[in-house]
Amino acid sequence: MLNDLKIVIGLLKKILDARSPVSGEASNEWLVKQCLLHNVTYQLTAEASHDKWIGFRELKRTTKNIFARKSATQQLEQASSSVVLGGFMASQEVIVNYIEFETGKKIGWYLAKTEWPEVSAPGKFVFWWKWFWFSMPFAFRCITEPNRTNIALLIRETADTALLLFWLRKKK
Amino acid sequence: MYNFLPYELDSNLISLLCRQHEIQVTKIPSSGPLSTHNRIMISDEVAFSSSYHNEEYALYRESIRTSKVLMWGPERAYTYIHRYSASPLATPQKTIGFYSHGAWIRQADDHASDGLNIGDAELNLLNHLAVFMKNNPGYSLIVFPHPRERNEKRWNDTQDFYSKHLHSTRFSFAAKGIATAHSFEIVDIAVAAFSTIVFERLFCGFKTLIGNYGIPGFPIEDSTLQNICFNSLETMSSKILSACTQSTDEFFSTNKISGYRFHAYPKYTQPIH
Repeated sequence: MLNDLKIVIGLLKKILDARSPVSGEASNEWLVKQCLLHNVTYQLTAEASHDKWIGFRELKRTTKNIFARKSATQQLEQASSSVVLGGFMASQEVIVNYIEFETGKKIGWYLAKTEWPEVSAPGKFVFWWKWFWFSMPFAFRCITEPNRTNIALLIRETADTALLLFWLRKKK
Repeated sequence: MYNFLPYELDSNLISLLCRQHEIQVTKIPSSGPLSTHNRIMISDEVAFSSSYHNEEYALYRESIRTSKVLMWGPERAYTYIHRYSASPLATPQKTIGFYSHGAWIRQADDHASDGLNIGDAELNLLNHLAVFMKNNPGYSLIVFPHPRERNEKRWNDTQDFYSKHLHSTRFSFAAKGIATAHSFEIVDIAVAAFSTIVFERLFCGFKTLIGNYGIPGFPIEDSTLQNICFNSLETMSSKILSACTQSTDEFFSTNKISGYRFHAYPKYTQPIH
């Protein structure tokens, strides 16, 4: 799990350092940077864009999630290695049926991204520690930067993505 | 991995990570225009669910990086297409349906702005509908509220909102408890400002017009979708009056949008159980 966090942090640093293309095609990293920092999101309310402390609120919220004992993954078919990444558990049936109808294949797992993460107990504190120190500067940036909603969400996304990667690699 | 959340900020970050670890990703954007949240997509496969997506793909080819494009039906279409695919359902003449996006209620709930001005577009559209109904007394108008507007706690506000903006127009609300997508045949012509239901209705083969009051970049210039868009009382009135005299097949063929119907999707032309 720590290794996955390291991978995500490494990639995020590369993405956030990506420069706009002077000529020719933009790199994938630069495109991802545009999404992370400038796309519209509904994950936080409109009020968050005026809240200078939104980064610290995200630190607190994600910390709670990391230490929460919850899980939003469901195995559907043992023989299948395909996974659906959806929002809420409640939408699982509609989404899975739709994909199975279109592909004609059975889905193995459903992950409700909005409701997890699940962090396995042994590495929890070290995971949190590493994530916290990486994310802290984003919280400070939220005080002054206009796109603070997107920056605040980087805090959540770092942890979520590392846990998703950990989970995917475990099941692969 | 099938990613049903391509609109989330970290969706492409996840794609890059999956690529590093040889996990194949298929992204499934909703039937609405890609320009709103999905003009950048990095994925091994992308499943489009509207003919308009193909037109947008030509425009955003540099930022939609995929090696394979799939054509799927809209998200829930497999649950209701049988109602429409067996034989065409007759629609009552001179009936107009307003399909709401519920923009005013989203604003009241402090949703982040998407920059599409849908709230203003819906207000303009309602005002123009009120004038059209006054000038054309033979028509009837049914409002199809968004599920957010249907919420019991908000229902009084919803009724007040439409009474206020449709002025003294005679209108009714679609019956509660029947999903909009399961009752497309209730009206002959639907009008909407911006909603994925527009694409679902077109998919099922029903006449639909889009009130495009300054939604940036929509529709793409010279796209076939432009044939069913309007942005003034005059263009709305002429499109409604013209559509009313046309059969469904004529409506789709003269507007060059036959590719939006389920007939263009082999999977949906066979019986679905």
